[in-house]
Amino acid sequence: MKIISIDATKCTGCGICQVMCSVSKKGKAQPTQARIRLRRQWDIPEHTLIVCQHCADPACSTACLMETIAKSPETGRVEKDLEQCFGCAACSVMCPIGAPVYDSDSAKVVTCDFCGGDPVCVRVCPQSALTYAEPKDLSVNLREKQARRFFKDTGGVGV
Amino acid sequence: MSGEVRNHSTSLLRTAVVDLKKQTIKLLETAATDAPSPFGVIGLAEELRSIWSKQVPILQVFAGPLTGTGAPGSGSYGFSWRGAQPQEATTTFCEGRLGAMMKHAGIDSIVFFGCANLPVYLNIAEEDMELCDASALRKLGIKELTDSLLFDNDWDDAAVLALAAADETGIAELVADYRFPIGWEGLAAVFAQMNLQGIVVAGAMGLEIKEPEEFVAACVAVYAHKNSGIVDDDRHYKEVATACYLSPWHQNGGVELAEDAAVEDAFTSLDEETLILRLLGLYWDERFPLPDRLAHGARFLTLVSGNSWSGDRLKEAVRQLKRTRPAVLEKGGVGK
Repeated sequence: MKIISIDATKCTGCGICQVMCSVSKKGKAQPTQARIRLRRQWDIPEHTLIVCQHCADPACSTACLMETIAKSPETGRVEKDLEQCFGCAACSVMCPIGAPVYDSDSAKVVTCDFCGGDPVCVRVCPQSALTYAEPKDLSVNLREKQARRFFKDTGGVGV
Repeated sequence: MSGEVRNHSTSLLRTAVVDLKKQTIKLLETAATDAPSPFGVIGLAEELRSIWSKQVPILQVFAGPLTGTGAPGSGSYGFSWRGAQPQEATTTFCEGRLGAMMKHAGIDSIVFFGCANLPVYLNIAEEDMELCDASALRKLGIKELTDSLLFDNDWDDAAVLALAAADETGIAELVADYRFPIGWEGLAAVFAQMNLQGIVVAGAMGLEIKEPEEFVAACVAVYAHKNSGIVDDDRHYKEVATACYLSPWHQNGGVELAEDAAVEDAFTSLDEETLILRLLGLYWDERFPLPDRLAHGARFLTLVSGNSWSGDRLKEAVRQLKRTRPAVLEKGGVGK
């Protein structure tokens, strides 16, 4: 199952992913209501992405009082029956990264659904810092990238 | 107010008028339909005329109708000011998060006038606006001052503009969000003259996009075109400007200063097309990756407002603005 990942070496913290997510999902530019969020660290600067990771054993599912959250055996995604959700935000509290977002319009707690398989945030990222890919591919890409950087930095021949 | 959605065409244009001498803040609301141009509030609201004609120093920070909407490079916001020297009203534009955050806080413009007796800064946390004492912050460096300004604002991701001593030289400089210098000497001097140490703004209001699907598609098209020539070298990216809403095709490592660096009125120094785009809230220049920037600007305005705009109509609007502006902003003008 694919997930959204960030390359912190590329991300400039522009936040366009958040704005476009809110425009796409809610028809208004309101970054605080986006399903993807950046925690900006201007000092480093390497910014952290907060978005649902569709965990293997999701804590949000355990926390949900209405038992509306479940991992789909077909897609592998953590899915939620929004009809039943009453916005208690227990899932958000239990989530290790706090990914679920309280939607003030519907009074429900929502998470990233990858826009049906073609995430807007990935498409608009001006630095191509966001990737929507299989975790194993992301891992291989990251290792290759670090190796390239190491060889360049040390004056090596590159890989 | 966090749940409020602001609409470019129908919402009230809000201007916070800050009297630094008396330490008061008034909120002026103008119907968007009364605004004299598609560019929204830019010191032209009738209520502001008398202030502009009588007060020195005076400074206005204003955002355009597309500022903060998420259109590529939609972080353009402007400053108009008249200080003791020079006396002429000057307008300039820069990019960053402050204008966008003002819009999210429900403010289109802030007007400061007079001089505070002691250093102060303006703290806006959505509906709460207050002038705070900055006496203890006077000699702090950029990082310490920004940290201190943020500490008093309860929001996570507030935008900050701070007047602080630059680390290397000690010369006072306006810096946005820790690292982006807004380097016009005249502007920093007006802040210093007013005893205004900084502005902190945060808010969570939504800005309505009338045609969200087409708007997203238009943004994707611009970014796709821009990204088609991108180089996959991570060291390249560290040199790229890094603030929300900065034009992603700027690659000089900070807020653009080259063409606006001189204390020169943007209304006379910028070409008509660039001026229109800046007034709309788009910090686009010749590096915009698609042909006919003005048509794209008009299209984004159309998608946001729901009213049909063309490049020609925008040109007519800016010419009208240029004709009326001197009477409003210059000393001894209409409001005298």
